[in-house]
Order: sequence, then structure tokens, then C-alpha cells
Amino acid sequence: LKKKEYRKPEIRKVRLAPEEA
Amino acid sequence: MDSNTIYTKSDSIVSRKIADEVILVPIRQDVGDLESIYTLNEVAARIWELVDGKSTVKEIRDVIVSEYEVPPIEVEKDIMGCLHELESVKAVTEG
Repeated sequence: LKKKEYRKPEIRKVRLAPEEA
Repeated sequence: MDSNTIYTKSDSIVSRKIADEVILVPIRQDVGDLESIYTLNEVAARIWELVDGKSTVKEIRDVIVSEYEVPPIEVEKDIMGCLHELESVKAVTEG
């Protein structure tokens, strides 16, 4: 199978308003 | 942490897969920051999927190398960085 293009693992934090959280 | 370390997902986090990405939502107050959610890109999401309390970092690396165009040395460093970040937000624990 053709291998997929690699991108560095990335974790992004998204801040929410308390009630939304 | 070394390549034989095993990680387990925290039960204080719930996750949902959306397309190739995953969102992590803390649901307990003992988890870092209740007012934030975390989004994982495709490779980070795949690493998250592979964390099962049984697979070592080395085994996770082998799966990623088999699926993506990336040299093993580079990916192991990235996986450790990703797991370290997940550990810092208490999404995973060692052991």
C-alpha cells in the first residue's frame, strides 16, 4: 500500500468559555 | 521515557474522531484544564489511537513507520514529544 504523507504530530489547545467547556 | 515505555489513556478524558483528527475533552477536575479542549492532527490522532496500555513506544513507532513516509529515527523523537505533551495535560499516564 502507498504510504501516507507524514506530518509532525501536533496537539493544539483550544480555550473555551466555562459554560461551553 | 524510553522506547520500551508503555502508556495508558486517562479515563478523565473523552475523545471523538472527526475526519482524520481527534478532539480530546477533559471531563474531570483532576485533569489539567477543564476550560480547554485539545485537537490532534492526523498523526497525533493515530498515536492516540495506538495508546492501549499494551503497546510500547517502539511498537507505536513501527506502526507509524509502516503507514507513513518517515524515517524511524525521526518519528520516534516525534512520538516521544507527542506522548510527553499528552502526559503533561494528563491525557495519558506511564504504565
